[in-house]
Amino acid sequence: MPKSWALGIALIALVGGAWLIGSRVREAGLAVREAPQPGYRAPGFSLRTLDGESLSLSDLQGRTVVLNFWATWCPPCRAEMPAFQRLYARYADRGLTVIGVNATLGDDLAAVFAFRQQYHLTFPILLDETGQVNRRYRVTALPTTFFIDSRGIIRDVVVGGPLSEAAIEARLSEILPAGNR
Amino acid sequence: MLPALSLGPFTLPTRPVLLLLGLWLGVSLVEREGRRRGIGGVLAIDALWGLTAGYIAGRMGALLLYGLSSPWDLLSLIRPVDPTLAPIPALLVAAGVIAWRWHRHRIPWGVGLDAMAPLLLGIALAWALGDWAEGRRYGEPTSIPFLAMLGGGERHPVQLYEAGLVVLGFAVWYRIRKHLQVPGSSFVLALVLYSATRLTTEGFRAESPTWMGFRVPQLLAFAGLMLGLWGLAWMEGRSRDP
Repeated sequence: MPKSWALGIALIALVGGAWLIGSRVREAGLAVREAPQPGYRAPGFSLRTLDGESLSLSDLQGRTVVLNFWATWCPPCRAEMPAFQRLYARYADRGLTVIGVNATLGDDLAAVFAFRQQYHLTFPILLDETGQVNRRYRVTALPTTFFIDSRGIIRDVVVGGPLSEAAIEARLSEILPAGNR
Repeated sequence: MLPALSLGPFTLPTRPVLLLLGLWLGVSLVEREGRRRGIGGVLAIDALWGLTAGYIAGRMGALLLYGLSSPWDLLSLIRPVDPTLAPIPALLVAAGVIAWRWHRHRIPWGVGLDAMAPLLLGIALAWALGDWAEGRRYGEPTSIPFLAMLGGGERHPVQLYEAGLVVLGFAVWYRIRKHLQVPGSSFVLALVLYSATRLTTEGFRAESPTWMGFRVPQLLAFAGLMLGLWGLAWMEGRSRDP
């Protein structure tokens, strides 16, 4: 390698490396920034439930949250819903909240009601009627599931499905507080 | 931000329109580069074949992974509005189809890649402007005079930084490429310039995926930059060998 090239590459490596280190995101900063990425604080939102009440993510402070984006016409969403219901029933009184955010903008409200009844869902179903929350969480495929710990930090994101009960439980075992399993 | 263009009775989403314009620009430049290198216009056709096959493979991959957007909506397989592409099948199939076309036309790899470099920069430019139009992949909060109102706050217009650096990179590539002797080096130069662009701009981006505090796209860009520079130096050294 010519000497001038070696010097040039070394200089670029030095400047690039300094920028890489200087612009990294500090761990402390991650926990206060909202972004739909693992490690960041889950973006806040407030939506109407299927029963007409309002629910905000901030209402669930201190609880472990599984945020599942779904629609009635999405086959993998339908397939994984019973597993979410079973785990919600098992861990609800120990700090777990499952929230189903329905992509109501592209769904049929009557079908959502029927779906809840058919699958005997007892966890809150939120209606994203404008698609705002789907956009904020950058949901590009359904289902998409966010696992949020009791501090409000996103710990895992799963795009696609269906997730098996074991796969969901494995993720929960990492974020449910130790005494709460 | 301009997520949709209203043209009389028609409303078109801006991002796919920009991507099509970027592809048109890139393919036109590929054709020019091909003619300059004595291959003729066949490279532009090969690029179109690769892009089309890659897009279909990406959509099919997404279909296998996530299912259709709606079971009744078969058009969503080819509709460019749907952004969901599986990148690995898309890239593999696009590369495979282009390789097959070059093999048929007896186009040397290095020469073909060099002529394809403007396509990379055309897509990168359209991608950055598409992000700007849709207000996606925005920057960190700031109070600089030329800030943008995005994501509910005043932020770095990082998409425009990226677009500007891609244009600058293209100008640098355009001037330097004539001096590069070894086939393939012009393409590597384009990769180096794009990696430098991403390394710079990702530092201003909010919401980057991180690994141990480092921004993952920046780490990849840094690795690409170093590997590319080493490759260029190696090629340059080889061209000087008697």
